[in-house]
Amino acid sequence: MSEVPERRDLPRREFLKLATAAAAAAAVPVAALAQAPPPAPAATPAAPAAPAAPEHSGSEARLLTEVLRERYPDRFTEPQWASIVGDFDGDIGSGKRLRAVKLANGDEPDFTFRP
Amino acid sequence: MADSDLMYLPVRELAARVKSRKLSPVKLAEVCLDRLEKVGPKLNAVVTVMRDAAMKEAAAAETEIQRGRYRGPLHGIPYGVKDLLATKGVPTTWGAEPYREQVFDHDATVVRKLREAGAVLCAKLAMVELAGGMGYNHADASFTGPGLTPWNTKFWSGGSSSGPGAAVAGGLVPFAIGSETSGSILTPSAFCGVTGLRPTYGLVSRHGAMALCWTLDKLGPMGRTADDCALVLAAMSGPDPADKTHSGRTFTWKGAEKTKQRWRVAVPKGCVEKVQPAVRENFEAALKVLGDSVTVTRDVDFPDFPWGPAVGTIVGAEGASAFLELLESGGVTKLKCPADRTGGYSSLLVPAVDYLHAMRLRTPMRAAMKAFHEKYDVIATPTRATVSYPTDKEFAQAYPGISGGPPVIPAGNLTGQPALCMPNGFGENGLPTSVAFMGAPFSEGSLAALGALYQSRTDWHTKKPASFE
Repeated sequence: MSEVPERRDLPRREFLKLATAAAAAAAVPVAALAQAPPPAPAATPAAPAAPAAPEHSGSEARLLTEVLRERYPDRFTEPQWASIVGDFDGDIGSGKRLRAVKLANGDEPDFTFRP
Repeated sequence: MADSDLMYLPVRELAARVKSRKLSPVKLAEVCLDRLEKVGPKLNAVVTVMRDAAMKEAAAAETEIQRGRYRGPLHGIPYGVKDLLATKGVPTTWGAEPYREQVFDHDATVVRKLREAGAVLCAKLAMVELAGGMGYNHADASFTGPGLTPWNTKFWSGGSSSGPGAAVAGGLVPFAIGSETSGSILTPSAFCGVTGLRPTYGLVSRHGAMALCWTLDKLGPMGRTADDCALVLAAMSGPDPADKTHSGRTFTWKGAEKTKQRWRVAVPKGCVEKVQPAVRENFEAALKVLGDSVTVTRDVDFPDFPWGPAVGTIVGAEGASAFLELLESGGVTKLKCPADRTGGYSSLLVPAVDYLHAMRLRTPMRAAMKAFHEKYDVIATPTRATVSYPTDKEFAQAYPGISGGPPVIPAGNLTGQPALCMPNGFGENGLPTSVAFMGAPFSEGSLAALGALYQSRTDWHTKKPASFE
């Protein structure tokens, strides 16, 4: 269960500070589904089925969702916001796996800029 | 021969008849257009039938051939394209409600190249909205409805190239063009029992194609046979100044000659243990059919990288950028699948560091796969761990407990490698299963030769779904 207070309980500046820290520490994207469905249903995507309230969600996911709520306050229903929290949960777990692979300083991104 | 039977002939055979003037391109186009109009809606496979334009192209092809100017094996052959390829003056919807009225003033390079080869474009084919980039979790994710496999219309045709898969399998077109960012040619090919070829990244120009993910998107053929796919790829490939990511290479294909080549085949550890029983049995049978043409090494350790998280991070970030306006405006809420209406938003907060980390990982990933292919020519796996998913369930609930092992599809897409998949039998509910071969970059010729060898010894690719003969 998250112990993060609801957005309305925080002064805006404090909330954004928390959210920014969480974002810097964690977020990774949802689109694990990318075009085709995943290799097997058991491994299904970060994009969760609709509105199940993710009670297990971590504070990072909830904070990141609040950032989106600041940007788009009237866009979604509460079940949709809950779905987005679930998206962030998946993304955060995915991001941890990604960043667990250590790279050397000289390992460059796999694209080339040609002036 | 019934008209519908024509649509199930390989391009190679249709071409021989067209070249010898035993088959009229106009007649062929008429059959194709009729089936697109009559059968297409039963499969939710078609967005726009291009009857007038197709009849003009077919008539022109017929005239040219009668005058002795035969362009090659695609001359006079009808086909369809996934509706993410621009076609001048004809709607290009990207499968998504917000783009239903979108019309471009130019043709995609692939469409132009196929026209120059004499092929006759008959239809824009259905697809998962925005090629699945917003995280769909259900077959009903297009304004045309859920794509249906002709083998059993209670089941999905796969995605995101849902229309191309269903249209080829249902005998609506002899071949079609699909696209793949991570699995969208291979999956519908498998679920529809057709042959699909995902080319090496940068072999086919993407100019005029909807962008979901610039560093992963590819266009490729879906057809009856490996030979057909190679024929089509040869016409599609080649340099294009309009696509800066193009490798400059051109694929050529004269046909699969009898070869003494012996392929070194790796079967990754864990790729068959938890798949559906029929998928496993058909995969083992496929390897057996190849017999002494392959040396199979089993239980090979697949390079260990966070393939799934990397592809998810990259597609998420690039997709959110590509569709930023749609996300910010709220237009995305008009999409069909509820998961697509919210699924792109978390990607707006992908840290640049994570995206770059994923892109940096692609270098050691490519190095690992290069080393892998010094030992093995081909990686063989079941294309999918299961047969197609039922349309009345979310994907995650379709086949709990089934797993395909190493993430070969994400890996092959991250490293830009080609893959060929072909039908290899049937499983639950009369649905097709499929075998996939992945090779090193630019090894399409070798893959097609292996596929042609397999299909010369089997007849799965000749099967027709009973309801659509």
